[in-house]
Amino acid sequence: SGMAMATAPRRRASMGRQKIEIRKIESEEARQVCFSKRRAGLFKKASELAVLCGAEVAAVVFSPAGKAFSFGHPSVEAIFDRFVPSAAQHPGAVAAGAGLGASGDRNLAELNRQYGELRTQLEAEKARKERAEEAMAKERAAGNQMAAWLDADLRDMGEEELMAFAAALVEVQAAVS
Amino acid sequence: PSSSSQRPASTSMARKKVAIEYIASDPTRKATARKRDMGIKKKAGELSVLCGVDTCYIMYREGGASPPEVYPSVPEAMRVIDRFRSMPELDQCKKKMDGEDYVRERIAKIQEQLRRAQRDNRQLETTLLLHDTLVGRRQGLAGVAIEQLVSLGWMAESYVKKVSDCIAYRNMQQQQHAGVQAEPPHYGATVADMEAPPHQQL
Repeated sequence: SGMAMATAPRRRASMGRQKIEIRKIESEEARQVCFSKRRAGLFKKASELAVLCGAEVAAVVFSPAGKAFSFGHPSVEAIFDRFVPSAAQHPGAVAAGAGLGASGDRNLAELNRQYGELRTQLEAEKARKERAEEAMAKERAAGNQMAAWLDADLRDMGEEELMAFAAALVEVQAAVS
Repeated sequence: PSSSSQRPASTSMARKKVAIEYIASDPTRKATARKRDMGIKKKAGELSVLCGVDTCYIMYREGGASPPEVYPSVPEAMRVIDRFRSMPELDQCKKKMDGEDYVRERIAKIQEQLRRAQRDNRQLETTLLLHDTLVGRRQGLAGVAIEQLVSLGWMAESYVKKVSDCIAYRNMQQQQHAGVQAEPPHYGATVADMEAPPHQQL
């Protein structure tokens, strides 16, 4: 029997990854919970594969209660119809599926483009952050008085230091106005 | 990042976070497709057994020339698809998801990350500006954008408050220390007060 892999992450609210045996779960409730989570995970992975590798992916899963959950990228119909043509049953659906496929592709492409843009922006922000942190670190390393004051725990500072600090800050406020 | 020392030898996936975007590099993309396809099949199998349910998964590779990857097997997949199709259309549609839903989710998540990063950066840059101003590198704050001036003002104000609070607290402590011998003013002394100074009862 197969064993699900186990990692040991910390600080999880739930019980974290545990080694389980792959056989039918006895408790109905636990089975349902397991189903929900794993189904979600499966669909998520399928969607990732589709985007990462430009693949067309479809999956259908039936719940313990018999409900059908389906996922398709770009669409469930397009892929199932390709795999097992169903022209005989639903000729309208095939056309609709294909049509939806084409415009669905466009929407999808647009959304993915948006994602890419956002990611570039995020990278840019991270670069900015790094530069700013480097600059700050430089000041600290240089043994800069002001840098030390800005960083310091005020309780460690002497009375005169605090006064001087306050005075300098007030000057800045004046300059701002 | 989680560390794992008990990785089965067969998988070689590193625990690196991958952005969900089309992989430009051909060999990487093909390798990823192979590995992830394997992973998905495994997960589908586990789901099927653990919950005693029908599953099926079809993957057409990019280019679509080769036959698709199929799980569990071609005849089984056809059976499951048949079961799916035999349902009334409404039931088929109810829990249908497509790539769009997931992309939107990912977009929302990354937008949140972006927002947070921008906010942190603004904070960081204002601190740097404050530092530079205090040190005298910014002659009269010339050429500084309005928003930055505003943030600078707020940050200076917040520091001033912290410092004056600290000074006030110090003064208060000094007074308390000096006042151990003398009592803080009592209004309306009672007999109880005469018996023992409260501070000794602490």
